[in-house]
Amino acid sequence: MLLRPDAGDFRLIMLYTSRVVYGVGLAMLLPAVFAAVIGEHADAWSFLLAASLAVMVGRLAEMVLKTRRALNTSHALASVALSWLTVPLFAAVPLLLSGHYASYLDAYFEAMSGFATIGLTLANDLDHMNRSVNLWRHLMQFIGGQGIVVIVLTAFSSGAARLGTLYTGEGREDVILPNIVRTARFIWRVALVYGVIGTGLLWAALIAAGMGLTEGLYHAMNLFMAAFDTGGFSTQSSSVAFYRSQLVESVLLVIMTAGAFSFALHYQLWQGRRRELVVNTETRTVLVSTLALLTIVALGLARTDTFIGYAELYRHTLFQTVSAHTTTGLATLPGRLFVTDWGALAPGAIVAAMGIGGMAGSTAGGIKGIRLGVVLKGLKADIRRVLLPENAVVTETYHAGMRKIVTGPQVRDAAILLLLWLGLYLVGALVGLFYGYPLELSLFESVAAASSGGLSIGMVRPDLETPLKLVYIAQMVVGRLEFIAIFALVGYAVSVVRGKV
Amino acid sequence: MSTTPPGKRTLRDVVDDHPFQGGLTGIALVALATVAMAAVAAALVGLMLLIAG
Repeated sequence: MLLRPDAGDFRLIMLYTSRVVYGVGLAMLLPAVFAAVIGEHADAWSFLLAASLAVMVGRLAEMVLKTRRALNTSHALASVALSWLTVPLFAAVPLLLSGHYASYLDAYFEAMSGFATIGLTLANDLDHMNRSVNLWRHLMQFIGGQGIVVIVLTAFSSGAARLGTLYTGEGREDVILPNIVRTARFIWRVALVYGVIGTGLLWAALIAAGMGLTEGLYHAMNLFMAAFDTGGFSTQSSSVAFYRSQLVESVLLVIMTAGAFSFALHYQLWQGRRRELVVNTETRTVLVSTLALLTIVALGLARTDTFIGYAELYRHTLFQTVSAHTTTGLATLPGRLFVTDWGALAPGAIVAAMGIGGMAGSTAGGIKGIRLGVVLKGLKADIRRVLLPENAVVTETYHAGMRKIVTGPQVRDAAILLLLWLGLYLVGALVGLFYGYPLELSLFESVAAASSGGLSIGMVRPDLETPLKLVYIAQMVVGRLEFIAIFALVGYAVSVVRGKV
Repeated sequence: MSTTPPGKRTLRDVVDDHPFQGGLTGIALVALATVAMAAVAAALVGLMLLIAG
């Protein structure tokens, strides 16, 4: 029987949501200070205004909604979903005030694209955007990629041991360390340590490419956040092509790959366990898939004679395929070329790469390698059962930190999620078709929005139809939270109407 | 307070006490994996292009 939630349930959900809003409000002080220091005073005031608003709402809600009721699973999941829908409302304010967005909806779209690490943009005149606003766009990716709730867990950790469901509701499956707070802190430690190393390497590469010291540092920081959090925003409309540097692209390839690795795998690698790279089922699945799709892209491009010479073809194929597979969305080419110059096969493989995505428990989106691996292993077991004698015992194993037996429920869960992902991709594509866009454009943009792939062929622009913008926003948040938290929120809405007291 | 026996590194050593050392090991292994993948991809793409003519 469906029970109608009482006022106490909503109080609790809103309390946790307000804490996340408060946390993101504090984060907005960073671009505010940056803007003030570099003399972008109007933007400094915008950030201060939005930050004050978020902090005030957060603190007021904390005072008004304080409750002793304990958080249960459905509260936690609904809080996560509501937080993800609410936070961009505040984060969009400085974007709108920057004057680069046609409407509040466009700014909200951008903020959601940032937090969900999608990379699709509705910014006008990106090349002349103020640095503090651009920094905020990239910071949103960093915060969202690591997990907004992870921030709450790490920054306000009193009693956080009870908040495990908040963590899993944010699309993270593996609790790497026994304590949820330690796990959250490890995730931040990985990001910060890689941040120092990655930014340093990118800074050196950018200087080698002819950029000045300060300019290079600014671009390196933003590029790192876009690549490691598999976000795909860029400070320039031409994305990575702006730098015209193979060295920069090479460093980015490593950082994007690191971003698509699960934090559980990083935990193993930090301890020097090289073997895990070779035996891990998810690493293998993603590697095989990347190699196969990369080859298909190259064959497609060879047929269309898009590039002259093998080196040029390989360079763009490698970068674009890895960018798509890790669901980053950085590009070495204008997106429009996918339609005009790439033929049909290569963009099809890019869509497949975005759709499959990176590893579960990473900052990447998409179906995820482990689910594909488990479903394929289930399929293999079924085929073996048919071929072997009836009384033969058939077991399949997978490796994730240690060898485990693939169970029926695991295969079923992975297959259900796979179907949900395909359904999500289809919804956006159908709405695109409804508005008269060709199938290849509709599907490309839909998969880019839902999987967080972020590569765009130019359909997403400020004059995009409003219902399509709303559908893409919904795809972004559903994809980022991997369904369950959104289902919980929808469940709450339904139980208000249909639940029994 | 307990102390770590000399010799073998423990998990806590790398993850908590020496995160930069762990991070360097981690990123070096990711870089190695990326280079290996890129090399295999280059060979595979080259071979397939040769076959496809």
